[in-house]
Amino acid sequence: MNWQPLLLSFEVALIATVLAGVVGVAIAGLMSRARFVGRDLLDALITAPMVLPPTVLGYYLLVAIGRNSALGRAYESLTGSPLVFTPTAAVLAAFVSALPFVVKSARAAMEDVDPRLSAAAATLGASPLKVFLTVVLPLSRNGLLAGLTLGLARALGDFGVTLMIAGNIPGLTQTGSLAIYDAVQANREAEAAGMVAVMSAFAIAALYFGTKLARRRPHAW
Amino acid sequence: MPGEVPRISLRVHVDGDDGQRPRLDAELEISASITAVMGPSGAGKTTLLQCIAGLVHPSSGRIVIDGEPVFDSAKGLFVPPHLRRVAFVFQSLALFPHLSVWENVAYGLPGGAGGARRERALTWLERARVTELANRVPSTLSGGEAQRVALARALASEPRLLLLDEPFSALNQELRIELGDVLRELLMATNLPVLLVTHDLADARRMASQILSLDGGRVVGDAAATP
Repeated sequence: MNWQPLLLSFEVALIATVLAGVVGVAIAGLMSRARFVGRDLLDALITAPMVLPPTVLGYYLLVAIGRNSALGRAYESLTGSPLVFTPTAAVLAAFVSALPFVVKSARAAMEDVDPRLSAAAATLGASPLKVFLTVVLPLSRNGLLAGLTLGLARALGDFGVTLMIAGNIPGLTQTGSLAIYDAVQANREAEAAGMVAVMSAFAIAALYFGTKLARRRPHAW
Repeated sequence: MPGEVPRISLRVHVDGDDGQRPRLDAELEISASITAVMGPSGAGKTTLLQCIAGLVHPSSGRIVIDGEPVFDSAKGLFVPPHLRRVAFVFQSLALFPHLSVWENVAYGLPGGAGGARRERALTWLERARVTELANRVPSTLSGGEAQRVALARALASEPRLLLLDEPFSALNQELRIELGDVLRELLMATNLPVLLVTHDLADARRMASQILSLDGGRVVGDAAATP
């Protein structure tokens, strides 16, 4: 069996989930605390990848990071190579797919934290950032872990967005789900079945352990 | 007492949610060490404390604590709660469920991190006579124990004013008296003014040297407590 696409998938999905965790926590924290103009619009934009056809999302990203876009040119002048059709673009595709799961669950968990606990922390001299880091975040741990688990599973399974912006270059950007498609197209049934089994096992294990972790009591952290 | 400089002087107006009756419209000066705030539910007692702590933004008015204005609508001044040094013991106590008892008490300790924080937290637990609870988590405490921990946590933050919102409401008579004693003992060494919201006249008389009555958001009575 060809392990390379699978390993690339795991690597891409893990990096994308870590990034989505950092960015998602910041966005969820902001959205759960602050009332600002455009909050609902931001919410809709972040949720959109969950419902948009992957080709539509991929198209937007292609326009945003293509070689003729401002972002694409900035990236190319910084690194000397284009962003599209690289493993980095595959990470971006997985990141955009995973982000709404992290933001949704983290925000719901943060809004569930008893506001009196945040108020008590403030009267004890904690700045809003300290309240967030020492009270809100630890107490939203379960929801955040659930979101990260779903995000990881989603990132791992992305097909359409990856195909649109990272391409399907064997050995470079061909992730597991793309390789499965190729294998099926080329009648390499056994290879496809092997990769399907590995990806299924990984996704189910991630969901299982993620749920288990999320069920642990907050103070056991 | 005449001639004494008030520790807190305030004049606040908080609009009601319905746009009709104000939630609070009070003007008062507090100098006594323990002042009880009484009144029926909905009288604005908790709102008064929240205004002083900075947890509610009054619609208009001015609040001065120890000579420092912390709110002044005319000047657009609003000092956020974490900079006011006003400790607040909530009716629910609001102990942090993910931290141990000593970590709760250490949370508001002024000064940097370091190993001394545990020692300092333990000193406060000792004063509240609950040293043995240091490594427990709040969910395992009895009502009276949680109450003492909440008091220790509030005092450890070295506030210049302590607000207590119905702190004894969940306790039986015996515990109320015992905790009243603990509170007085804890406060003895400090010169800390305390505002105590209660609806129990016996509590107010036992604890406070001044009793304020609120009704419909307004101060309707101000009397020295009769011993």
